[in-house]
Amino acid sequence: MTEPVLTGRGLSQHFPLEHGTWDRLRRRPRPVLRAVDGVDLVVNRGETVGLVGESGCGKSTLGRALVGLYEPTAGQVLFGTEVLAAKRTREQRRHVQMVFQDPYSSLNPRMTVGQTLRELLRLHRIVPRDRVDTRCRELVELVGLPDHALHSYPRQFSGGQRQRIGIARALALEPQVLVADEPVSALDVSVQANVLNLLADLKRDLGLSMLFVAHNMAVVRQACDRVAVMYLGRVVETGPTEQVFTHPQHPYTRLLLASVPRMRPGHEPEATVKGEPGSPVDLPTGCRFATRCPLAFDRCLVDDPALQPVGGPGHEAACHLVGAVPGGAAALPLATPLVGLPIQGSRRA
Amino acid sequence: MLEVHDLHVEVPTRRGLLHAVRGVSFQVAAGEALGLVGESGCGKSLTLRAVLDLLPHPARIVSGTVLVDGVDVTALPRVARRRAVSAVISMVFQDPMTALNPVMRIGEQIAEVPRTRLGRSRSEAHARALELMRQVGIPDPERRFRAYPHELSGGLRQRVVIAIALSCEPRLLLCDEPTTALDVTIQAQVLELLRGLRRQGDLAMMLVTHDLAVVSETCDRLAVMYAGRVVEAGSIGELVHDPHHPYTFSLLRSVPDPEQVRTRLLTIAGAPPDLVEPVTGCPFAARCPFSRPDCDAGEPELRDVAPGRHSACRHVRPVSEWSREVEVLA
Repeated sequence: MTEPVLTGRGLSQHFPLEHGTWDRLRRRPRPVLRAVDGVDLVVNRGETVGLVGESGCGKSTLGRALVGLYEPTAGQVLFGTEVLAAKRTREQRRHVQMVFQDPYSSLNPRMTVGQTLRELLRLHRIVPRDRVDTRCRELVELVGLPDHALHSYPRQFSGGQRQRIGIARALALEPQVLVADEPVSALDVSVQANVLNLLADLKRDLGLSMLFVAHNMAVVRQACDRVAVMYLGRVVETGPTEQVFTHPQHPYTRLLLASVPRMRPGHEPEATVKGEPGSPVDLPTGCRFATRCPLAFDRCLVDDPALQPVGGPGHEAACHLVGAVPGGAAALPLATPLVGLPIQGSRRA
Repeated sequence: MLEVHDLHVEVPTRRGLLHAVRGVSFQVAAGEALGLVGESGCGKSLTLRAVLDLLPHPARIVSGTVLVDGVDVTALPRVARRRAVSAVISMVFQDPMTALNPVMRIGEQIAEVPRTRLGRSRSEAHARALELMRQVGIPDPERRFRAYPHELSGGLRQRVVIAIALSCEPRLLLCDEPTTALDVTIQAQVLELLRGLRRQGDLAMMLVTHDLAVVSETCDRLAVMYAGRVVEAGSIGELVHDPHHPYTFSLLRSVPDPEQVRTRLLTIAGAPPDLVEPVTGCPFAARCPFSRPDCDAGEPELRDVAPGRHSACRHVRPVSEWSREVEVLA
């Protein structure tokens, strides 16, 4: 079970931004957007790992970097034990495939589904030439589309069907890992359930490993074995899904979970996050969440916390309160400011 | 306060007339919050826009009445109609970037209505705008007054849109997917704001969304729409725990729950009917896991099934029976 198939080691993805003439003349350094800033992430064989966070936290960038759509600024991507170079070979590309959020803009509108699939099968020589057509039919059947879908164009399908085509396209290369970037967020709820069930079936039947990038916490809980929560380019908490959802340790994870609307009439969140995420261009020193954290104290503003083990196996959180107070950050109420706790110089006290 | 009777909206398309809204009726009492839920294309947004006479071209109201404070506004000429409606109702749009004027400072946009409609002086309107910005929780309003929409984050922009909606002192706020474009933490902030506004004043609300959980946290009553009709209506608590219509039941069982993992999500097979074609029979019958042969015999009307509960399904059965049947099917 714990055989890593796809590993990101110390991955960083920085994007230099445009720079005005005046700033250039004054020799100001070019601003840099640190979308992903030193992340370690492992996807084990047969496992679905969820990557959650708000928009702009770098989760999609991390997914794309792992697929090889970007050349990482720092760090390595490993497939099994093999380190992948920035420019991957065709064989290496085949093993890690991507399902995009919007299947329409990721499919060629002027090619039928059959043409799209055939091109892939031939180029990568997945099956002998005379078996290509049979394989195409098997693929559309696998994702639950009728045979005649092969002769239709992407625009002739509904959103859910297009997403199935996107999945068939990714599966055509018989990948070991599927990176799905918000695969269901553009779909209606009933269709979303269809695609989630399909992904679960594929994982079971083909033994796929998956990185599931999403912002919807409920979807992640449903679909993933393990989860990593990202905030401003960093993983702030990671662990088995059940563990993270029932015993979240990092204050951000707790607030994120509390913010999710519940199907319970009259329910109101215990607490909400104040303010909005900072900018990945102008990162704060110390903990990146400190400015919005109800539990932040003086150390959080200067010292950047690293992931450290908490509670159960494989559960880690990057918070100074882990080990600092009994029970860690999870033991402190979020709605009330810190008063009378054995921490010096709390900002809220 | 707001009553809509038998509203029909048609959209001419290349394939023919699309009957997007087919006889929707509902009421919103003073201080009440009604949620309108359904999937894309069910006509929920068009219904909301028809109330305000803001239908996008070429959609038009074919028949039906909209009563605001007992006055039938559909009978009024256009200018008088808009005046009558906007004195009581205002709207919060889904996408705050397109709802705001990009070349106007946000303070001026908020002050515009108090100045032009309520006849306040420039300084009074300015003070009122600052007050509204404070009310919707925009930090540092004096400085933000001079900001342009692009300088604000999505959450703040949505607060500005809400402030503008509140500026004409409405008694009913129509919200069209107010949090769909926002992150979950910001969504929680905006929902908290909406709940707070309702608690403070006697503000009624109508919330259109596809997210049942958002409605269940903010509204008192719920109407579920399918294929241009309301198929079930009632109080939130009853609908969530004991749905009478199979569509409501399926919708509830197909959403992943943040509080538990389901072994299998219930899926709704097929697609909603094409509303260009006339609807015979129950529009949900083809996708319904519980359909019977008599479901095709004419479209069922919305009828009372219990006090305050309405359902457009011929077969009224307790939900426990359905759950058992679904487990057998799965």
